[in-house]
Amino acid sequence: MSLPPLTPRLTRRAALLGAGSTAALAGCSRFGGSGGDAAADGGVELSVMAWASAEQATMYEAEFERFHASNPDVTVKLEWGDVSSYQDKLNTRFAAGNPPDVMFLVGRWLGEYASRGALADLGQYPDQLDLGTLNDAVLSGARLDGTVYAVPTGTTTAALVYNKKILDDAGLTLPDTDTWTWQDFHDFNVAITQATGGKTFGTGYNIPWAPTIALWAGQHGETLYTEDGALGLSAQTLADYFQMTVELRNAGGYAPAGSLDDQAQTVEASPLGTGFVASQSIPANTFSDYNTALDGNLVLVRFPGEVPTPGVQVTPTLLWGQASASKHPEEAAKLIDFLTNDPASFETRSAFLGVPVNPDVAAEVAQALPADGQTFVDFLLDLQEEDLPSYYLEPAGAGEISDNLVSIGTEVEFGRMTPAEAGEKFLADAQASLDRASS
Amino acid sequence: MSTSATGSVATATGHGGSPPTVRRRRRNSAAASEERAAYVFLLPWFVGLLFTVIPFGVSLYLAFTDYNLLQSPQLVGLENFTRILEDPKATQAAGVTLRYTFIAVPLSMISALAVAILLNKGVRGLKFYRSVFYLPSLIGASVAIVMLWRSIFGYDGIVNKFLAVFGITGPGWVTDPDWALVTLVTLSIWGFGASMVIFLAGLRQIPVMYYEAASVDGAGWWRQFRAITVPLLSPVIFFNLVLGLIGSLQTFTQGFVFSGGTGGPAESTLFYNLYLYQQGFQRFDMGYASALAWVMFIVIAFFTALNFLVSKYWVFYDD
Repeated sequence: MSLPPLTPRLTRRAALLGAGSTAALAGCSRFGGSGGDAAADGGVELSVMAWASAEQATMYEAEFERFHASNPDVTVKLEWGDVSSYQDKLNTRFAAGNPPDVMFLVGRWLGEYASRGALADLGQYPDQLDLGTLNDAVLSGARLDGTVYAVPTGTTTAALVYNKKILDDAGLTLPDTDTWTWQDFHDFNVAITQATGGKTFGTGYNIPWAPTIALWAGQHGETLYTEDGALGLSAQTLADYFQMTVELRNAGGYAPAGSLDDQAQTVEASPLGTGFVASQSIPANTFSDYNTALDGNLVLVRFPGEVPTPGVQVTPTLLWGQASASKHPEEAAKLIDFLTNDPASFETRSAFLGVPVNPDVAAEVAQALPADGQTFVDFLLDLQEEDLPSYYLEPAGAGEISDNLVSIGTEVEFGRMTPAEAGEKFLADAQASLDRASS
Repeated sequence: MSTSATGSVATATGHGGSPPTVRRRRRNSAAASEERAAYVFLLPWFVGLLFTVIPFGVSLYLAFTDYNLLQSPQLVGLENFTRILEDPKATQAAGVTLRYTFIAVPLSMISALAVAILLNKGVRGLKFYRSVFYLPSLIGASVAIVMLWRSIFGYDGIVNKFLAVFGITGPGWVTDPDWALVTLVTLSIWGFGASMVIFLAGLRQIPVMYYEAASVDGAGWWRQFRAITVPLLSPVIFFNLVLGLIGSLQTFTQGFVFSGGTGGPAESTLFYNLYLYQQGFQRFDMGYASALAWVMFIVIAFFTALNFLVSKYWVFYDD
């Protein structure tokens, strides 16, 4: 006997199954889609990973075009994205065994990548990458155990900006900021708050920022990290630093506890942009971004306390690193050489990533800068004429130490910890972080 | 299933031709092909299960290793687990998570039950209120809402501006380590709607005649609530409690977005899951993160088992 009642059901079911599996297969193929990186025309394709905004990406791509023009058999592919997920993506690429040939690195991470063999020894390519032109002090920030693992994209430093318009409206003038003391800084900020009737606070500079603490250390004859990657800061010095900030806040020169939101905002919406504070700490190479957002009202000044012993350091803004697992190490080294030693590579980005580390290139770039860029470069070149403490490669564990500083800073801010306790806690935690990272 | 078993016995022993056997054979092949079809339709889920079970296994393996993504994993035995016991941040994270859970879950459930009882009295526009209260629980844990919450409670936010009208200077709800977690607990309680909808459904199943009989006997509102509502609603309360606990102990998004991934002002919003994420994806210490994850799994399993064990003393099922 036939089974007519069953047949229509089976047919519908079969149709559903067919449709379902086709859809599933189509979905699967979509996942496998991208990834074809076989270079066209049999030439070499280098992958570069960086974080950027859309405009900055166009800037970098223009430079890579120039590189391609003088090296026709090498094409450069830029992979860019948001800074917040950059490190995740980079580490995933390393874990997958498919790292980019050249990449952005932050100084704080360099120790961790270098000590784990992820980066190439850049001294091995003398024919492609000329490191001899570079200032030795600059390279010390990229050297681990005598080997150079990355090249700085440029140099920068920690600086303060003051809103001149607020100062003028309040009838105040900045003291000589090359020689001013922390007491002068205290008094001036308190004066700003009083003169504006509490509407604008003198400063909201980033207290637990590692460069600021490093410069305080330098001014007191110490250093945050020593050349061999140990802690050079004493508990007492850090306690004195926090004590200074507590007094500044209590006197009204610093914005009240909790009033500065530490989450990233646009410059216009930040406390400096809204006029809530009259000064802020910035990496000096970002001066032009800040000044544009504040309609040109900012002045770039040094941190106080630099006389008699300066503590500020000239540091790499970012570094170009090369993966040790790169399949085209010579071409990658050539690209890094282009980005460092060839003035043509600075035509679009000029001093955006810091003052070029090659002095000749720096001189050439300095000739054709927009006003704010010029301010930054002059500021830094003046600074480099002084005898400043050297910046050494931050050891593995430095990232965790930076985070701990922020946490301790918050505890001091809300009076949950005294400066003395903060100094002790920082030292204990930092030592533990370094020990753990090197084990 | 049992049909096909007896069907196969029938076909094995019977001879073709007699109508009962043919009918059973027809039912057998129909049932069997239904089963086969069911499995084929379930196939995508089984494939998806691989995406859960395989990472589980790898994570268990990694928990006993030292793995930093840049080099291959090195077996280190129980070192990661002993490190959890000695790690002050892990203790802090556990404390934050437990405090959050044991404040937010009870308060959330009490609010849900209270509003459900109010709505059960037969309000006009019940459907509207139910949807309005349910909406926050749908979007509450989303990135956008957490960011919005953060800016509402910011130093210059709406809440502080509102308080300033009465002359009260609000604290830094978001930047003060003493208040940041409170702000997040408030966000969690705001999302009570999902439990409320389930309580409402449970309340509607309680026969009205119980309440009528109780008021005839002179029982007041509170007595009725304690003696009728709570026992008859206890399966639903139990359900919400178990799910609420499991969900709350795994909080991540709210902590991450609220604090920008740092664990908040001075680790006051360092949820356990967030600490795990930090160790795994910011410190790239995957071995330790895997160990943290398995400890969390064991703790949640423990609380759930405890819940089930204790439930036989207070949960009454109708049968």
